[in-house]
Amino acid sequence: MSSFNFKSCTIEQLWKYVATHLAKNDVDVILVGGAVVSIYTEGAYISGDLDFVLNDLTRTNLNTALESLGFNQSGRHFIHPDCKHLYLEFCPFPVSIGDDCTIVPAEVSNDGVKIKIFNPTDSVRDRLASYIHFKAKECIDQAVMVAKRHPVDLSKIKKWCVQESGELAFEEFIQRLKQ
Amino acid sequence: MLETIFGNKTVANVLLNIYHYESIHARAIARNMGKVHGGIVNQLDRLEAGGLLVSKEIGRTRVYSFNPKSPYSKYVKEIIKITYDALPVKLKEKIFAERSRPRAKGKPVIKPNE
Repeated sequence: MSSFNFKSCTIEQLWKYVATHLAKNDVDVILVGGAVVSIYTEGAYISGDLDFVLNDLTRTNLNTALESLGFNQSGRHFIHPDCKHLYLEFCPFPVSIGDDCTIVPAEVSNDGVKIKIFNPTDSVRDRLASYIHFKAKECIDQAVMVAKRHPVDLSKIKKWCVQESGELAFEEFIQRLKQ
Repeated sequence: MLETIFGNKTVANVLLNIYHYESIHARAIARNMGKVHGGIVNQLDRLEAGGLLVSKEIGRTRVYSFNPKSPYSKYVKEIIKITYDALPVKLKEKIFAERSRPRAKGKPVIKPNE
């Protein structure tokens, strides 16, 4: 049996544990959403779930690999009986941020395999997408939190915001970043 | 044509309803279609799981809309628009009978031809 501590694990620990196991079982996933913010802000923002996007057209091996870790599927979510504070969700291919489907994730080496996560620039764009399209004010806070802690490509973010009709959101983001 | 593209008549009509109202709950779609609520919810759940739709609870009602973050949404809407724009006004009034405009509390509803 695994000695992984599901009861008190952090988001980053659970991501590395699950993504490494999936990579070893040929399941290619990318961590996206609020969990990425949590990792890039070292817990300053806490997410309740880990959103993965399958980087493959099929779900081959996914359910089997997760069940072997003790996760049970409940609708779209995978829940571990010992992990009351976090659950997993898997979204279908492709990974995208608004209309941009040409995402190149960051790769982190762990236990002999490479696991994938939105890079800081894409994490900011992802949060701004929720602000632009869902008017979720907490998401611009999260975008600023990431950008204050990590170098991001502001020209790429601006260009993307314009394409998503989010010029005002970009201006607000820049203002907040300067504060 | 929509049912040919999307696989069945129910999902085609569900998408037409969401296109028309922009956001709508399952019972309103079911009433418009004269179908049972459960079958509509199944289709909505499937479309949400695929990322094409998003939903949120308003009060005790779950409301669905196209996912503006999905790269597919605008193209699916373009396909639906072809059929939607071809619908005669009278037919639109019939198949989208649920009213979405604001209505003052207590104001009586008088339906034509009743």
